[in-house]
Amino acid sequence: MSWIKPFSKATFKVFAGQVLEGFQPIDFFHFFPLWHDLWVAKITEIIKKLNLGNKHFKDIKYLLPPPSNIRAILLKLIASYHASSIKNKNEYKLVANFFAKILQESCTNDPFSLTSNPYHSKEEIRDLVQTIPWKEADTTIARKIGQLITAVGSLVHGQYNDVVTDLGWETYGPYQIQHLKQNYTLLIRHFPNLAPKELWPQKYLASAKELIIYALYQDVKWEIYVVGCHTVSKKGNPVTGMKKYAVIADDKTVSQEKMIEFIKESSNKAEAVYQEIKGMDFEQLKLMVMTQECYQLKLLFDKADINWKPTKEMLERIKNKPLLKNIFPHGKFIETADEFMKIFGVKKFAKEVLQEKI
Amino acid sequence: MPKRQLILKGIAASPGKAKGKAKLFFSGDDSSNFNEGDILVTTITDPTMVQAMIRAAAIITDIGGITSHPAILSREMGIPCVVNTKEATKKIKDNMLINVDGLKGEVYVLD
Repeated sequence: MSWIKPFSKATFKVFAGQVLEGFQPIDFFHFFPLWHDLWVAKITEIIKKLNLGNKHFKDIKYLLPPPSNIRAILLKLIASYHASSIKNKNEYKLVANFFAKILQESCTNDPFSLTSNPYHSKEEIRDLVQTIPWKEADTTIARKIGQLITAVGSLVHGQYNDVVTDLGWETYGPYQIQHLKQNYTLLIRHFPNLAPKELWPQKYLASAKELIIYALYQDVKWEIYVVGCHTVSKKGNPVTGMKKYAVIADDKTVSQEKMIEFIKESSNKAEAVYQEIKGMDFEQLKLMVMTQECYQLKLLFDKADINWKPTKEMLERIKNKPLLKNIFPHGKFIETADEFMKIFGVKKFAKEVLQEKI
Repeated sequence: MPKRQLILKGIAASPGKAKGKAKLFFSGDDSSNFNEGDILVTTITDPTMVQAMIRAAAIITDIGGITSHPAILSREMGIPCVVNTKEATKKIKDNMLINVDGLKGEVYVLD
């Protein structure tokens, strides 16, 4: 089943009303095409070696990044193909189709997150809700949780950059549930790895590796656009609408006092790591972004016993090289889905790689 | 009753109303100078501003869309936010008393 049209319809929302300058700390879309073809070739090698194309998502989910991260990778691959002078079409096709298949199997009802990120089955959610140590929320707590998301989300932004954020920040849902005979909307905010030691020294790692925030809302209509950190409250107030919550760090329930400590720790580290990033020179920035990009599939590479880090050839492609220019427009607000598909080469990808017309 | 004058319109990124002193704040600025209840005015937010964002009563930016960094985090914190005003950092000066309407995407200066 063709995926590229529904993918585009959803992904356009990332860019609606945005300019490329909003993405930091580097002009990603003029950087990735310098070397992404080589990374796609490595991913092809992994897919073949592990026979991933013939495996269902359920069998390999422990090796995969979160679904939002996969959507982001797919977008970057399509844009990179468009701008790159090297067109290894068969490899791009294999990799893109693999990621699309994973999304269709893992988030069946909305694989490309047009309005939601429905990763869990009804049964999983039913069982989960019964085990969560719920606490009553009020506006003070809800604001504190908002601050926690801001602080931790900002740390993730620094650790992973603007286009790998989804590796460290996912939101699942919204799920409509019943709990103790009341109807709620459930959002699960998941920060799976706040301590990426392969990327940063200890001083920029959080004291807890994994943080999960469960929240039950009433009278709030939530949507999620493309990636989990893009939560949009279409109706209602997320602060007054939060009725129950639970914050879990490394499998332990977090108290309010501990939450405040965590806000302070995360915001201090977020500022510190981003100050370091702002102090990097161009060569350091390119290397950092390349390494973060490769890190997304570390578990798959480890399973295949292949080094996940940038290869010598990848490094040569970027060393002392300028970014590409004038392929993706700066300062331009992308207003329509059609404009998005043209600018990011989606139509070209469909035609040349997938042999489809959209 | 202070008079108010509409000075900016942008995308309504997070609902709510807030009134306070404007503070122009940019990437890398010292957040110890940003007080609780100030209104953060910037080009676009980034992680170096997180402590100021947490203290802000509202956020106004020059660029960004409904899924931009300031928009997402403002909604999570329940504070009003107006993005894509194009010239907030030019039209608003430090310590101006302003009123932000995050539902309409409007910013007013108060006498």
